[in-house]
Amino acid sequence: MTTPTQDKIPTSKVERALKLVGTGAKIGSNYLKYYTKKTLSGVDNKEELHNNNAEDIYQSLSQLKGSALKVAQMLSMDKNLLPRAYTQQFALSQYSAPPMSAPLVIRTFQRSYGKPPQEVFDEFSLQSSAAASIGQVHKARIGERWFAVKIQYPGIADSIQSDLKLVKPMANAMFGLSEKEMQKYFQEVEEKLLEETNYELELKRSNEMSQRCSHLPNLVFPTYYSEYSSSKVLVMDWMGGMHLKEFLNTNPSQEVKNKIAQALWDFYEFQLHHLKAIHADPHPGNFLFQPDGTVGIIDFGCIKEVPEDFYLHYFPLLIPEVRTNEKVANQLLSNIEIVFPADSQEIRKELTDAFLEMTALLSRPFESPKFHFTTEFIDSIYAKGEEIYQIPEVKKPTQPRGSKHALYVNRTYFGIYSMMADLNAEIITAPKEWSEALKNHWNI
Amino acid sequence: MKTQIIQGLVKYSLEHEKSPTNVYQLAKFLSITEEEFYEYFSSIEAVEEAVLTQSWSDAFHALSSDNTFSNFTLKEKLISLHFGWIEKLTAMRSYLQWKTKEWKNPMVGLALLKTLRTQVIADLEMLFKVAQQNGELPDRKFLDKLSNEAVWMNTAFILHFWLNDSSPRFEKTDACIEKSIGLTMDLIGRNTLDQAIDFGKFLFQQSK
Repeated sequence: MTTPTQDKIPTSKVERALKLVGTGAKIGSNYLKYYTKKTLSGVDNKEELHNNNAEDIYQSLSQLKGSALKVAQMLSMDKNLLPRAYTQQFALSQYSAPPMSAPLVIRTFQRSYGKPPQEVFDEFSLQSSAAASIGQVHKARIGERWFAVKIQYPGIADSIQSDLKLVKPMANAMFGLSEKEMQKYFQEVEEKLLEETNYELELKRSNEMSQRCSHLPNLVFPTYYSEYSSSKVLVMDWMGGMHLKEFLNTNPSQEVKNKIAQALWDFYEFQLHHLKAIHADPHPGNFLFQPDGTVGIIDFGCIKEVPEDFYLHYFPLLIPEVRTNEKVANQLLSNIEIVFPADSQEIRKELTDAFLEMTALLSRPFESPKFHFTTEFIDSIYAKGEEIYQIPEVKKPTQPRGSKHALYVNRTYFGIYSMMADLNAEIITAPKEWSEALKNHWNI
Repeated sequence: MKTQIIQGLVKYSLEHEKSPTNVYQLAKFLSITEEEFYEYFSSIEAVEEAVLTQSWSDAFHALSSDNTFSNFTLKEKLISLHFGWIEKLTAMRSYLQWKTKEWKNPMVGLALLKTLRTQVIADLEMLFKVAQQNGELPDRKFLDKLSNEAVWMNTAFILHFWLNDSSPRFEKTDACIEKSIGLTMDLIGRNTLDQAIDFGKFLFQQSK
């Protein structure tokens, strides 16, 4: 798949709005095509419909920059909400955004540091070496030392809110809920996006997280340099290594792949169950794979802090004994807003069953001492998701369901699962002390 | 001296909340003689116009003497130039905001911008010539004037945007410069138009 080049970035809000309205119309016509075809031929070609929609959504999103791109990334990670065709299209958006011009890079740096980059570094490449969704990365050198200098697009924080307003109607249509009902989810996304624009916060968190995770084997964290950094510029060690796809193209041995997968798995287990805060942006650009089986972890801009209450009600569902204990399971499901007291008996049962089945599938890696992540496993999750999507209350919900905290937690775990599957990893998933602790908490 | 007179005018206007009504007042304010004043400017209006023009020229010269600048593409040169210019104007922002309040009458604004326009277009012609020589910009003969005009309108737009910009450190103006120049360059750079003209020529030749 080649990335289509873009000739022109839509600049004004009006122009961007037009872009998205255009997408809405296209999606509408795709559905029309689908239902006509289905009626005429009797063949249910949902795959084609999703492909058409994904193509159209992607075409217009890829022409936007900044936070709309970020939302695309976000959706592309939340694979449980989106059929595969969407995710493939969205996955494209994870790499390239159109770069800032050299003068703007110099200016932004100078604004924040008081000197142009050429005076601070012995060497500073004006060509960006990677695009992050809200900034870009430049390679620089002082003496023998290489640095990665991340520079933020000017004015990005301001444009996030207006961009989200543009994406809202589209997302509402996709999930079939009104703006008011989607509000709490959007608020969560908006908060996280704004946090990501604060490089001072990112520096602080990066230092904290990498320090607390430094004992984990086979992980490499760059050092961050506060003396060169500011709210718009973040300077860290240059990390070599490859993105997942490039890495896989070098045909690494399964042994090396398992080693990396194990390191990533332990990293996330430790964050979630000990730190109760996770690196919630597991998109492939943030992991730099090294041939020796270690992995560099960058970009702590997006940290999801997992509230204690949510932790105690959400994660026990990964334990089989909890799922079979009707009383506790029901209590958990209503706490995480999957079912509500007002629900009718049938809806309640249907949703409970569907959710527990899905969780049973998702928790398979946790139920044996070792687990092999295969493509079939991921496919079965998709299939289950598709099946659940057929439930009327899920397809056209009468009210929003699911805790807002689950948004980033799910996104993160789906990201990890699909990375694991791409690595075809077989890893040790025991020991799980957290499981005993949670069982004790619920007296099971 | 030229700069001193300009700065004097800015200071006088801000302190008195009105422009000096005659050269005598300004000369006295600067403690120079009227003769000295006339060596550089012909009238108060000329000084007022020079506020914008001089800062543009200063920015242009500062960049021309910069080594990095000569390696830039035309688009990068234009972006740096506008960054530099807005930087220079920032020192006189209060004055410009005060002065441009009068722009509600558009003729006043036009008069102020007239010399700026002449200067900008002259400088652009130089930059465009270089770009045409190295093939960055197509030689469109008669249409070249339109390109100058397009960039000039872009410049006037940036000035207007900056005067109304209230974002910290004017970072929105930075984004505005980056985006608007990018768009203008897409319009005047090699694009569909050249293909169309080329194709038109071809068809015309066939019909002979």
